[in-house]
Amino acid sequence: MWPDAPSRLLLKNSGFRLALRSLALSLAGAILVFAIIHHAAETAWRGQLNDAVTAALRDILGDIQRNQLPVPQNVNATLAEGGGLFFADIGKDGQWEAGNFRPGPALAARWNGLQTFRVRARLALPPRVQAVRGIAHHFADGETLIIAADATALLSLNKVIARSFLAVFSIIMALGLLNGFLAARAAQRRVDGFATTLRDIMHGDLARRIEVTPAADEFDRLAAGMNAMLQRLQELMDNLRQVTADISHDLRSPLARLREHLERSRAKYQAPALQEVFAEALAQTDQALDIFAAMLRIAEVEAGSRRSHFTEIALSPMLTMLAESYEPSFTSAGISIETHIAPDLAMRGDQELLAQLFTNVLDNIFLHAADASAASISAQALGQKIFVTITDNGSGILSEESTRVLQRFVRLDASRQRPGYGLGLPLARAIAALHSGDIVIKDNAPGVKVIIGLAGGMPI
Amino acid sequence: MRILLIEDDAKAAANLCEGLAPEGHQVEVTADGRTGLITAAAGSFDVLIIDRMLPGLDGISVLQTLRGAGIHTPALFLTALGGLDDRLTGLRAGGDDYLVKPFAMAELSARLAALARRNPTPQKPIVQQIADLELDRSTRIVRRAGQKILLKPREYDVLEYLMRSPGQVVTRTMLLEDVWGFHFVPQTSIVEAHISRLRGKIDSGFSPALIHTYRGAGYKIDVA
Repeated sequence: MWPDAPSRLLLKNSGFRLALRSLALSLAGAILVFAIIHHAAETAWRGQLNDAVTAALRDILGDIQRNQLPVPQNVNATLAEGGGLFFADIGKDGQWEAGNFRPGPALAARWNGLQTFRVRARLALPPRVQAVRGIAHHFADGETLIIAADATALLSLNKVIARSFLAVFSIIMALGLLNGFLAARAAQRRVDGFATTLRDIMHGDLARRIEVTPAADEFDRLAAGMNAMLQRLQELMDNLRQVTADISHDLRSPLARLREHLERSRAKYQAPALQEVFAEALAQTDQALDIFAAMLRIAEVEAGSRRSHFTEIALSPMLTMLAESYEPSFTSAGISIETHIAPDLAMRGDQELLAQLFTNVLDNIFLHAADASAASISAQALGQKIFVTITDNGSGILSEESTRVLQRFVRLDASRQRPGYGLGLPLARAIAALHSGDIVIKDNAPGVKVIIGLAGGMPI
Repeated sequence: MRILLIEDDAKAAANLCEGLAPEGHQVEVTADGRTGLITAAAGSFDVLIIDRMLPGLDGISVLQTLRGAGIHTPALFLTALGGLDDRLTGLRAGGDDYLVKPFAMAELSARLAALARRNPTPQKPIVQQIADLELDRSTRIVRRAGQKILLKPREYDVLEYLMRSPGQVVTRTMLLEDVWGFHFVPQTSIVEAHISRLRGKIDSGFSPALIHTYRGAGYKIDVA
C-alpha cells in the first residue's frame, strides 16, 4: 500500500534487520550485566548493614546480660557511645521506652528478624534517612528492641544503577540504530545498483554490468557471478541475433535476384497465363522478403544501437497525425476513430520507430479486429511514463492469447486467412522495449485494448 | 536522362540497363568505385546510381569524395543493406535517395525522375495551376474551378507532393517516405485511402479527372 514508506523499506532491508537483531542482543546483554551488578552491590550493602545491626544487637544483649539493667538504660548507654545506628525500645504495652527513633507499636510487632523498611512516617528519624534496615529482638517479657541502620544508600543504589542502565541503554540503542541505518543504507545502495542495472538489461541494454567495488565483499562476489552470467547470456543472445540477421540477410540476396529475374521475365513473356504465374510468384517472393525484412528490423531494434540516435519527440502531434492518416482507411472499413491525446506529450526516442510501433498496432485493428466499428487512441503522461492506449471494439482475443501474440510468428487461428506474418506486435514490443517500455494487451470487453507504456515521459 | 550506374555485379547492372533503356535513359556503367568516381567527376550526368558495396572504394566514400569536390549531381544509393542506420549513413554521405534491393523497376524509374527534377532545384511556384485546379502554397488553399476545396492536412500534403511534378508517376513508397516520413509500408492502405479521398474532393463533379492511378506503379496528377 505504501511501498515507499521509509520504515517499511528499512524493515524490509536485511542489513537493517540484522543490525536490529544484534542491537536486541546487545541490550539483552546489558540488562543481564546490570542485573548482576545490581544484585552483587545490593547483597554486599545489605550484608554490611546486617553485620552492623547484628553486631550492635549482640553487644547490647551482652551488656544486658552482664549488668542486668533494664533495656532502656542500656539503650541510652549505647546511644551515648554514638555509632550512627538507630535504636528503639518498645515496652510490652507497646509504649516507646527509649532510643533515637520511634516506630509505632504495629511496626514493632510486625518487625521480625532482619528487615528493610522505607521511611514514610518520620518516626523521629533525621530527614535524610529514607529507608532503614534493622533487626528486632523480642524479649520473653514482650519487650521489643529494634536496632536499625540507615539504608538510604540501598535505595539510591537502585536509582544509580537504573540511571546508568538507562544511559548505557540509550547509547547502545542510538549506536545500534545508527549502525543499522548505515548498514541498511550501504546494503540498499548496493542492491539499488543491482536493481538499476538489471532493469536496464531487461529494457534491452544487454551490455550493462553490475558495478564491482574493490572491497570484494559478498555483494561483489554476487555481482561478479551475475556479471559472468550476463556476459554469457549476452554472448548467446548476440549469437542468436547474429544468426537471425545473417540468415535473413543472406537469404535476401538470392531472393532479391529471384525477384529481379521474375520481374524481367514478366516483362518479356506476355502470355496471360504466364502473367498470372509471374504475379503469384512475385507476390510470394515479396512476402518472403517482407518476412526477412521484418526479422532484420526486429534484430536491429533489439540490438539497442538506435538509442544513440534518440531525439526529442513531440508525441502528441505524431499520434494526432497517425489518427488522421488512418481515419480514411478505417472509415472505409466502417470503423470510426476517436482520440483523447493529452497535449504536449514529449519523450526522447526514435521518431520513425515510434511511428512504426503505433502503425503496427493500428494495422492489427484494420486487419484483425473482426466486426469492429470503433477504435480509439488515447495518450497521457503518468509520472515518468507516457501511456498510449489503442482500443477497438471488435471480436477481441482470448485472454490466454494476449501474451502469446507478442511472440514472433504467432498467428491466432482466427487470423490465418488474413495477411500478416505474426511479426507486427513482436516488432512493436521490441520498439517499446528500446524506449524502456512495454506493451500489455487487455480485454476491452468487447475488443482489444493495447496499452503501450513508454519511459522518458516529460511534458515540454 | 544521362545516368551513371556504379555497380560491380555485372548481372544486376545488365538488368538495370535493360529496365531503364525503354524509358529512353542513356546509362553508362562502371564496375568499381575508383573508376566510378573519375567518370562521375569528368562527365555530366543527370543522376548517379551507386551501389553501396563496391570493390576498391565503397559507394559511401565515392559519394563523399564527389560531394567534397563540389559535385552535386543527384545520387541514389542502391543497396542490399536495408537497416535503419544504413539509410542514415547513405543520406549523410550526400545521397539524395536510398533504395533497398530488391525493388520494382517502376519504383526506380519514378525515383530517378524525381531526382532529376531536383537538379537544378526549381523554385516551387507559390500558386500552381493544373487545368482548373489551383494550389496556393502560402495559404494551403486549394480551388477547383474557382471553388474552394477543404482538404485535411495530410490530403493537402499528398496533393502538393503530386503537384510538384505534374505528369510524373509518384510511387506509394515515395508518398509514404516524403509525406508521412515512414520508411516502412504499413499494412493498412493509408496512401490508397488518401488518394481516394482526394479524388473524391477534387475530381468528382469536375472534368477532366486529374489524379490517375497506375496499378503496380503509383499515381500522377495530369490533365490527360
